[in-house]
Amino acid sequence: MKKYLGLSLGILAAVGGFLDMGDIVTNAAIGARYGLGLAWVVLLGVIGICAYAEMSGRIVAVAGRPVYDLVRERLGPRAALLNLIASLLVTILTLAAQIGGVAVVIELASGVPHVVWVAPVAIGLWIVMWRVKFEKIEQVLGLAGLAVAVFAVSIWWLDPDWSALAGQAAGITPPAGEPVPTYFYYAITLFAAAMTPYEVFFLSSGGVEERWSAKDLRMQRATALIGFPVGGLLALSIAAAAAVVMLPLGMDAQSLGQVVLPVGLAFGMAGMIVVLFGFFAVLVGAAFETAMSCGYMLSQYFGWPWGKRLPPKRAARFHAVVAGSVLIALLIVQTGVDPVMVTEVALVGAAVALPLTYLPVLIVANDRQYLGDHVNGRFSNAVGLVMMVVVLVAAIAAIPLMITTGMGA
Amino acid sequence: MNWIEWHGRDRIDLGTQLLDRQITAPEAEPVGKVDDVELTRRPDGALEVTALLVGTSALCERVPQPTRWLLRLGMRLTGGPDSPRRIDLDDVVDVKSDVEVTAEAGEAAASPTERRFRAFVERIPGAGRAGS
Amino acid sequence: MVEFPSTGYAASTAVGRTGVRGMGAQARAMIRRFAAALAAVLALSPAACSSWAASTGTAEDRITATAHTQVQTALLVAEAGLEDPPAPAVTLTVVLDEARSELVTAREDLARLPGDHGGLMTLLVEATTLIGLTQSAVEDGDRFALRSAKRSAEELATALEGRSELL
Repeated sequence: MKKYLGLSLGILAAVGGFLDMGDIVTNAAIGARYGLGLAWVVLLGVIGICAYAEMSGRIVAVAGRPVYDLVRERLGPRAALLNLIASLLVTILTLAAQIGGVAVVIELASGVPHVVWVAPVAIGLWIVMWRVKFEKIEQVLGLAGLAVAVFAVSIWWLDPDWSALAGQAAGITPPAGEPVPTYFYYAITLFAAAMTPYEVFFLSSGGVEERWSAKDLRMQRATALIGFPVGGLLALSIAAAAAVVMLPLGMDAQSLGQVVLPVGLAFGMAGMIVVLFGFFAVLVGAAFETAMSCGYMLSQYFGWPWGKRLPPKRAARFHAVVAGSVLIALLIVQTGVDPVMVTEVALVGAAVALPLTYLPVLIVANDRQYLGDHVNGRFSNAVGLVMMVVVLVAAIAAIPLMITTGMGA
Repeated sequence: MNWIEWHGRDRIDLGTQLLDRQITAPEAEPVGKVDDVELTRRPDGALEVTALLVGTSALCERVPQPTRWLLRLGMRLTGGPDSPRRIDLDDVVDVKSDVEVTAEAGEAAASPTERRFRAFVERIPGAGRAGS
Repeated sequence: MVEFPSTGYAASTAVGRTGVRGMGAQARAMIRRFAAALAAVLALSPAACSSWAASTGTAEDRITATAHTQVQTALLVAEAGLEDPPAPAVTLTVVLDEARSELVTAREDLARLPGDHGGLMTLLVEATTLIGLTQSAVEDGDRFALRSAKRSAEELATALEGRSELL
């Protein structure tokens, strides 16, 4: 019984853990602009994150090695250091986006400008990370984040033209009259939002924190393979809500305030309260994951003691890096820069950094010295290789597309 | 030391199976990475690995500029640079996906930078409680 | 006995030989195949790109689109305010504040554009007024004023749509 409780809590945490500022912003933007016309990208991203989360989870459970250990072991110290710098920059930007997002959510609930909330949010985040148990943070925020499902209920309540939605979702080419580069720019940011590198850093390090062993293999596999797709569905429901309400009006969704409007239309007061609560939980959860990931990356590259399973003073450098990342993120948001803008820049950076993160995972997942009989089967390798190609194409195309389309303007 | 079989292996590839691996003391306590190895010339002219070297200053010797410059800067900003710590090959207990060493060797190779940070982090309330 | 303090040499040759360490021959062959496929894609894309104009319209079109989005936002806010019970006034006010500041930026951008844009500027001013009316209607919970704000938003959106091919 306890086992099933653990499993369901793990799945809930994965559902909430999938969503972050990037998913919210990109899904609403593409929903308003293309309807469900980019749903295939979300599907692709979910398949990718499932495949690589399963591999890195397996490597942790069997060999006990988190992803950044593998990056240094397989890429060597120099390439791994370049990857470290890039991933660290992207992850700190992603953290800044989450902190900014939380501040905007509080602004929407209180009417007080978000710059006022940035420092309290960052300090509160640090205190939670310093004091509260790893599993408790994961489970509480994961559960609370499920409130975002109110988007799915809203769509049903707004009684849309289901056949039009299905028609949009079936298409995999740009709608007539839409410029192709812009379409692919949005496709890449959406894909990067689903596969953001910090997700595997956090998941694999979390596996070490929670002391996974080979006998937890089935459980961790179920967690990833159920949790991430359900998370993907939640992301799509944000896109669908924007498609139902904003696409017919021909408007864009560029701020969190616009993103929550469809829920306000469906359920008024109650809907707004639920959706703001859900966004708050999801974004605080993502801020926790990104801040911890900064510490995990650096500690694992240099071999420092790390993690919340150790007494904090025995992982001093790890905790210093986590606190330092929160501080830098705070300073970025405090400049007053639009959190949505930070999110978009972070997503383009993430797209570029993806291949060097996922390649070592794929290589080690085939290495019997690490995994013995638990190496990749044909299916895992086929999915892994196809996704690696997609990741490479996205990485190469990301910056040229960002420049030519003026960030999807 | 018997080089025919060392921790269940008749040969070990320094580049892919030893360098850059995690070093852990018992109870999965992280010590550092195999940042470099110490080679000694034997009387018969062959090179023998005699110790693992741990520490960013050992790593510096293995990377080109400007990576090296960056690592040096990092060390200087954190109160270093400190000379590399040496773990004698006889203190290696097992070689798996990580390199396990004895508790004493792990203790002796502990990082001075970690000690400097600990002196600071220790002062924050709650720093001494058990991990979760 | 001579000690070598560093093995930079040994390590770098190992890395240099295999590129990415410890990769099997099979994996390398696969990666080579994918590199070829990737090269093909890259070679084809400039050819395809030339026919893909990154058409985002003129500067005036973009300003029109921004204003249009803010007007439609006011429309949605008015609708959410007409719900029973209405969406929280605090939240709707913040959304309208954002819309107003977007409109202010749009007006500044338009003022900097060379040429005569009097017609569009009038619409931008009307949009700003609309935001203010919607905001006070939301704050007072005045359903009549919300309905009239909704109607003006619809008219203004239609007028903006008539000015740009993008909309």
